[in-house]
Amino acid sequence: MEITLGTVLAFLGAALAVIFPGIGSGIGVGWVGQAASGVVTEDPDKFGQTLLLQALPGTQGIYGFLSAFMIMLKIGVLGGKLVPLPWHTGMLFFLAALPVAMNCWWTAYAQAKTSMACVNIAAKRPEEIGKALTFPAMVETYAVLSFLASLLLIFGIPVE
Amino acid sequence: MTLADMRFAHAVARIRVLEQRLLDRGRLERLLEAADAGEVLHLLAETEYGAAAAAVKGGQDYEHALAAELQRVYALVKSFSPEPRLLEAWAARHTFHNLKAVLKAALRGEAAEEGTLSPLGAMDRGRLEAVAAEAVGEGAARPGQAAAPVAVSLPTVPAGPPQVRVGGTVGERVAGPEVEGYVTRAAKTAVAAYRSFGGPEEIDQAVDRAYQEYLLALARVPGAEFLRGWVERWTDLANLRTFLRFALAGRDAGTLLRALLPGGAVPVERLVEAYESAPAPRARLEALQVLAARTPYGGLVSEGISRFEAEGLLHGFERLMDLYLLDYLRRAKRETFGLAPVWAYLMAKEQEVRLLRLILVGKSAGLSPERLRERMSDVYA
Repeated sequence: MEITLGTVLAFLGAALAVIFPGIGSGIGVGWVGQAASGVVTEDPDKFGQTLLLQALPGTQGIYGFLSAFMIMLKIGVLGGKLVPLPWHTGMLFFLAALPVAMNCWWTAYAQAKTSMACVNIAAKRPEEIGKALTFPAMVETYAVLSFLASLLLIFGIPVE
Repeated sequence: MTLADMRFAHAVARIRVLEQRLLDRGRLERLLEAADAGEVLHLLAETEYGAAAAAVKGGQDYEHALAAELQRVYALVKSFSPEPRLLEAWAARHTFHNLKAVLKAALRGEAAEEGTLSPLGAMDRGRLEAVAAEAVGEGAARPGQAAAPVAVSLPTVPAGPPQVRVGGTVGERVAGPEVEGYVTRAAKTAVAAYRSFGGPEEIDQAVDRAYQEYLLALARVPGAEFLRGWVERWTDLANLRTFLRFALAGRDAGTLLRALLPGGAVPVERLVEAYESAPAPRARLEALQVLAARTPYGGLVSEGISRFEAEGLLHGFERLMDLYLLDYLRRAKRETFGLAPVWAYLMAKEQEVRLLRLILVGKSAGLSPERLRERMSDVYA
């Protein structure tokens, strides 16, 4: 099996797509979890509402993983037939992974902070939870856009 | 917002739920309309005060029940706060209050009456009595020998770095100043002031100043910006009230100087200058209005003096002070992280207990709802 510089760069891209959004989501879900546990300690009935808010910053990690999965699929990691990529093709995979890696990392933080603020809405005005979910959902838009951009870029890279 | 503020995520969310259990204006109105104290307690049984109301024996023992409720809330909030040391400022007020009572009793050669001590202090009675005994014994004037005089100077904010370890990084707890050191120093200063100038109010002033120094040291800890703002406003308002009281009583500027607290936005020297600029009480109030007009307290002082002139009492001014501080605390409602919501909740709870005490005492004394309403300030919830 030949390991080329291109293959290494593609692996690096896949790794970044998992690492950064994963860190952002992990920390974000942890933060919101702390806030949610505060509410549930005093009012266990709010578990469902707060769980929903806690889950939101976790999506970035999923987007990162899916992007990495697509890279792995394209370069033959999953099929067991690793394609020896020229350096420039590997670089394209690396660059294609950047939108999801960077955007999802930071949007996970931003979404976690918004979700924490909305946990307080769930605590004080549970009837307004629908509106509260809108705010962190707005942040999701930009995570989704970067995920789509990365996916389209990955799909567009020709691998022979 | 800092990463250190994020440590309050759990505490703030929990506070938001607890805030829902504060008494709102509507419920307080129902309490006001109650026929007597017994009915007030009956109505309170449906609220967070259920256990406290049930513990009241004979319909008169609300002081203990309300103090127990405050103690419960303080212990609860402290248990889940990532910075319990910052909340000790709240209990410290009661500690210094107890110190005053114990010191005055010690100087009379007696033990403090149980009713004069707050159960909410951070130091127990035995420790406070030991501190007081040491202070009284140390500074005692021997026969034929006068006690060492106390120098009077402008009160100042303690210079130099705070006596605290600088924290504020994620996961690190902030160590604030130790209250016991301030209490020990306060006892010695208060006894010296008492022996130099005479009068129990000298003890009050010296202890208040020590409490103030403790608060200022605590408020300089990173992450305590909201507390710093509260201390500054509280200091200014306390000084304005002292100015008014002293002006109305025709006291001299030297006495005022000893009673003013450092650390406010309005410098103590400006207050003393204004006081000295006019000899008569009425002129002193005008001088205060002129001084306050250049500060954020201009409207409050004008309105407060108008109310005083209309009512002949300082209650109106004190209600305005409460409202001013309450407005500041309400800013915490917009804060998602940090100490602000936690501190504001504690203060709101204390204010609520104060209002309940007023209602219960008023109902026991047969005051009408209208008379009680006049004395009541707004609520946080």
